[in-house]
Amino acid sequence: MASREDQRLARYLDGELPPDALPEDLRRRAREFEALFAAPRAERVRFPMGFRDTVMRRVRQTPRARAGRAWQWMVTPRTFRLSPATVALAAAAVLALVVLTRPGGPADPGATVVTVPVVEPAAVRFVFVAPQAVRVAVTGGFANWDPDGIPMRSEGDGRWVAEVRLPPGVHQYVFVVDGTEWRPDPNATSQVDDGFGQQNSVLLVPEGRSS
Amino acid sequence: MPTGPSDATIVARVLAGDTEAFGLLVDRYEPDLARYARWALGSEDDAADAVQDALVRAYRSLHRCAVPARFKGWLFRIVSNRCKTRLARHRRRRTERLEDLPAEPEVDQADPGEDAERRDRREQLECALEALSPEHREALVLRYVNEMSVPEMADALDLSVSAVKMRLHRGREALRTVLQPEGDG
Repeated sequence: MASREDQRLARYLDGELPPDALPEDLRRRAREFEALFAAPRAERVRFPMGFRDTVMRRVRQTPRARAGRAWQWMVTPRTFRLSPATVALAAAAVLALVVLTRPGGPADPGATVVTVPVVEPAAVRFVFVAPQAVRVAVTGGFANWDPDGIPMRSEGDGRWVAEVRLPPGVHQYVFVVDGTEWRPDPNATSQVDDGFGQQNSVLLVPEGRSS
Repeated sequence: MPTGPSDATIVARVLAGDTEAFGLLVDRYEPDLARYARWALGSEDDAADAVQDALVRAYRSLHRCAVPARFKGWLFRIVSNRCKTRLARHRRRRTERLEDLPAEPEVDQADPGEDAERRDRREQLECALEALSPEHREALVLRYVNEMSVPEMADALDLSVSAVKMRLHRGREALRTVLQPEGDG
């Protein structure tokens, strides 16, 4: 029984081959192997009563994930203890900032010209070549990483295209082929690890500037 | 496929401050996590503790789930790590106990209504899995008990697809060796 595993049997047990692709003797060995796990597969493991309530009680007592925690910190009233010297220094710093930055204030030859960023979304055209695909979507943070994402339209020559309006900033994205296959953009200028051993493509949408 | 809002939608709601939405993820994945942890650890009590810890950890570090649409794999990875930690701790304790004290008999928790042959087979598998390395046991449980696909396993174990296949192959070989009748061979 410990003899080297047949390649076809291994591929079947990895889910790559249907059972009818195996000859009868291998099919029998596959059934024997799978029968080992029949009991645990059919078993409904029941956690103690109140498991969910315990988890949720602990979750409610746990500091929130980053986005929520930052907001919580901002809205929670708190007391700060400051020495009079610290207050005096802070007040002087604020006063200096007001004087130096007000219009018509002291001339500063190196003063920064402040431009107002235009935060209007920019139209971005995504193109992906997948001649065999039945459907392709582009997804990313801008689509909540939904696998259905933003559907792309077929150009009929194997190319899939979508125009998306994105705000200025750095966006990560991938293409989803036929709803299951996540593929980075081979033409992206940079890629980052997605935390699952694959790559996300990175797109920089530059800020527009007023004249 | 789960019904209701997608994992990504629920994750976004939780990150926006809707703590109670996390309960939807608990409801969705508890049965799968329970089955996996019970067979990875060999005990329902240990499994409940490991899954509970993992869910709380998942909530606490939800902002680090880089691809919320693949929350399931990320969550399984946390549970898998909790199970490995518990196993290592148990093995250490068991070693210390064996060195210091006479062995205690294992409590038989068999269900009296369970068919005898089925129970034998179940116990045989349980003993065999316990003899495997945590990595092999985890791979076999995910694939043949939880019926995860190889790509899903790659997500959950943070491995490449080919590394998962190799681990499954070696796990099956190890299991066959353990189950082989003595003297057969």
